[in-house]
Amino acid sequence: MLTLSQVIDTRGSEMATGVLGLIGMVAVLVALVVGFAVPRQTVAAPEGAGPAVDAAERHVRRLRLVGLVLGGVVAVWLWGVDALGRGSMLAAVGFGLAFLVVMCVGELTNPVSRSARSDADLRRRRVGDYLPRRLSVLVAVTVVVLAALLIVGLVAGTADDLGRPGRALAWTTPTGGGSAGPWPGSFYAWPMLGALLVELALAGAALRIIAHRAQVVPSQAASEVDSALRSAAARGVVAATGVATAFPLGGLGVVMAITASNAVRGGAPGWLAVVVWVASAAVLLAVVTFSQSAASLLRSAAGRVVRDDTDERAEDLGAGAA
Amino acid sequence: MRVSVDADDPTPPYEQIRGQVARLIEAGRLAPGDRLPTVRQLAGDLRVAPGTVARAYKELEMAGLVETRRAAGTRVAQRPVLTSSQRARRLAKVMSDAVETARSLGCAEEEIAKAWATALGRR
Repeated sequence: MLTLSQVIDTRGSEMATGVLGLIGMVAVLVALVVGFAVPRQTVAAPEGAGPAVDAAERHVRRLRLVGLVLGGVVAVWLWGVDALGRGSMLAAVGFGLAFLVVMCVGELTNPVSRSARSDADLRRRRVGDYLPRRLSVLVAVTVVVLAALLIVGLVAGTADDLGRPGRALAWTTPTGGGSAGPWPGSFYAWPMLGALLVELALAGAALRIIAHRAQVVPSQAASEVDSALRSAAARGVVAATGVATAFPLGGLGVVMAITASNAVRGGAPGWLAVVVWVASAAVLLAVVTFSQSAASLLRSAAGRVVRDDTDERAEDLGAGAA
Repeated sequence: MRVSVDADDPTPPYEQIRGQVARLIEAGRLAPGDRLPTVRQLAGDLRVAPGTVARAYKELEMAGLVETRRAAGTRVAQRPVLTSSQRARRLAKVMSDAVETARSLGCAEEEIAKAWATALGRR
């Protein structure tokens, strides 16, 4: 005969998986629409430096595509690693880490052109100069909320009926008590917190590399293009971090909301009702961050930052001569 | 504000960098407290070895034009207010350097004087 906790555990897992799948599909659809529908701002390639800039952009775009594919492979592999949900929780972080590693390699191996005369800006480049403001704020809030939910899960989690620590939520009442699961206690929170720290450290390192790498073409004419390439790369890093954190936040939010809601119905203390609302709000935040980040990622891999005006210039000159 | 390095110029690259930064500071275009790029950033952008930029910064530091602190990096130094005698000495040095350079180019005294007058006239 099934205990109450087992019933809640089974139904909770099924519901969580269903809701998470639905949210994921909606978010991916929104990302695809936004990613390809919104026109992108481009900068003109400077005269004479077109081939060098083109080579640099092609190199970075190619590596971003490699990053997306490699990240996808890592995510699919991680998804099947653990039947109790740790693999699927870490899949997006695995995607983000693989993408960021490839991005770092791409930026470090950027082809740079040489000429007899080089010039450089005397302004010190900072990471903040290239961050996309709105997306960065959104991702930062997502990271904070994810960390906060993990800490709540860690503090409130207890062992489940099979004795696995940090997989259930238990409560006591004057008449007895009960437990519900799954719950993101230490069983899920420690691996996720560790992965989150690695993700943030790698994102920070990638942003530093982007800001401090040598300029692609050592001339004043190419400085605008250089800044645009750095901004696009920084957007890719923030977007990868957004995908890596929003996806597990969505999953944790759904699981916490359902389990806490079941617990409240089973007579658990009232403060868990607050957790239900906070976790539900976190799911909404996760959907917004995921769709925005995925759209940015797709655009950074598919769209061009630099446009070649050579043909337009040639047409203008031709018209002028006529 | 930009600095450049010309590989065809017989002046060593570190001296090209030092001279340009020094002129920007003396002309007031780089203000006291302004941060200069890191050695690695400037060296990468100018396609020179980090040691080249480090030497230029070292010489600027010895001339009292910049100061380097571990955490804050390299910044333009606060410039001391010159007394009239110090200013006269600096002016004499600048003038004699210019004349020496002109002579090394093979210019006659009349040519130098004419160029001098033209330069003053432009102001």
